[in-house]
Amino acid sequence: MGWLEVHAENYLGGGPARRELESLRQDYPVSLHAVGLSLGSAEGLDEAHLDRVSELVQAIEPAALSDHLSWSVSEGLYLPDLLPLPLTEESLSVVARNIDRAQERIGRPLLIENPSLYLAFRHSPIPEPEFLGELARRTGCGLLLDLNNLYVSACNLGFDAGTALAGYPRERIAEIHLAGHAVQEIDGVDLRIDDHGSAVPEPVWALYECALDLVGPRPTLIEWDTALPPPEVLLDQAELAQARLRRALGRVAA
Amino acid sequence: MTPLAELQRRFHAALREDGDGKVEEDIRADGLAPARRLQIYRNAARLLLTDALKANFPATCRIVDERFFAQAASEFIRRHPPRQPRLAEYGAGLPAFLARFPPASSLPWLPDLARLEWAMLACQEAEDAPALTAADLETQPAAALPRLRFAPHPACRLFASPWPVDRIRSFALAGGEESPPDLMGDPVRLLVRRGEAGVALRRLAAPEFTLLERLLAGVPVEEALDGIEAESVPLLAAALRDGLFAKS
Repeated sequence: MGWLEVHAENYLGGGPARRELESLRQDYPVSLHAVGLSLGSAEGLDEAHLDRVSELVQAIEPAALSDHLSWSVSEGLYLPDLLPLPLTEESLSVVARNIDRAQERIGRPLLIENPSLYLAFRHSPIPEPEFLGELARRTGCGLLLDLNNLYVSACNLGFDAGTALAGYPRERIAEIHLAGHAVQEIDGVDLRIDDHGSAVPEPVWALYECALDLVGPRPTLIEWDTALPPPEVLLDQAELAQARLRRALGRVAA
Repeated sequence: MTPLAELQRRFHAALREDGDGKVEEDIRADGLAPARRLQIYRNAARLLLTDALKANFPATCRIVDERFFAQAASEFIRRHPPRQPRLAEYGAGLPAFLARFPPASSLPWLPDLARLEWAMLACQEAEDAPALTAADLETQPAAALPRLRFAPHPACRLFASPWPVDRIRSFALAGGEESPPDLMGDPVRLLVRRGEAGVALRRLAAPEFTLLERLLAGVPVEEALDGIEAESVPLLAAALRDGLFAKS
């Protein structure tokens, strides 16, 4: 196992939880994955929350810090979900402004992750890969490519994941996420629900192989944080990713 | 085209079932009605918030039946959505909500059980801070001691209830392994504090509780000791050993 990733929001307090993280940090590079910055909120960022995340970053010195292309807050109320954005010029300037502010406060670049989508807006003219590419250009942020999210969104919204994959700016992608998802039938339609509760399925591994070819080897995380299996199963998933990563690294070296 | 702030306001309200449905006009149907697509987000958020309340109030959740807790949680979430993104800090208003929740009226101790769990959670999640030690006090001139005031350490709380909520809590968490506590005639005064191994509870006698209540409120030592009918030096030594005061 090469490195660990934790949700930043689970470690903002002190006590034994923080001690555990500090102790893991002694032995592994740690990536902080935030879910609560709400970078897509038109009303701007919660400065108090930003301060706490910033304090954690100073204390842990993570290898990476990431959050999502999504929003959770409106009128000061927070819903624990990664809500979708219409991909417009207005959204682009809102998210870029928020990322600028977060990076200025924290003092380091963020990685921005593509979210799982269950709906699209009527007016959303900019394709997501292009939107993320433009964000990276304007703010200097990097990207976290979640291939399970890409697959889930492609299935739910009816686009081709492989084609979309080729549109992301490869030089900006600094990390890859892999995970499993659930399938739920609603009104006769099968929807993929991103639940991080099962093994990485074949189509997502196939996307990973494509990504390794297109983008090159990148630090890769198996996300499995609900319905946890025994540790051997998790380590086996990590090894499956590691083996593909080694092959890709071999190709790069050759 | 709806401006983003307005779109987000409508979207958020729709997820809280507080909307006028207008947001659906901005969502593509694509084989599934916008309302059904919104429902996926609504369900996910509701599930996470309910799980957060279960995790933050484990004994309160277990001592009532599952349907009762689900109903209370659902009503609480609708009326009091979170105002910050840390789910471990969600539920400050639950004890007061339960005190006014008609189905809970036959369980008069339930709000205090929730209040105790909230105090424990506040200690668990408090920021780290160095504690004042006896050695720190030794640097003070003896004459200054009576006028000293202490600041509370962020990871400790005092808690009092007319009900034995500490025993109710341990009964609830034991899952039928313990016999139910006697509810009557057992009021409690508790010290809640986070130690190396996590948050612990200790029952306090009335004089110690009063003394600590005064000291943690910043009353000077001499005044805090006024009328305390107990050996005060060991009590102060124990408070310092327990790290109840913050080093300034």
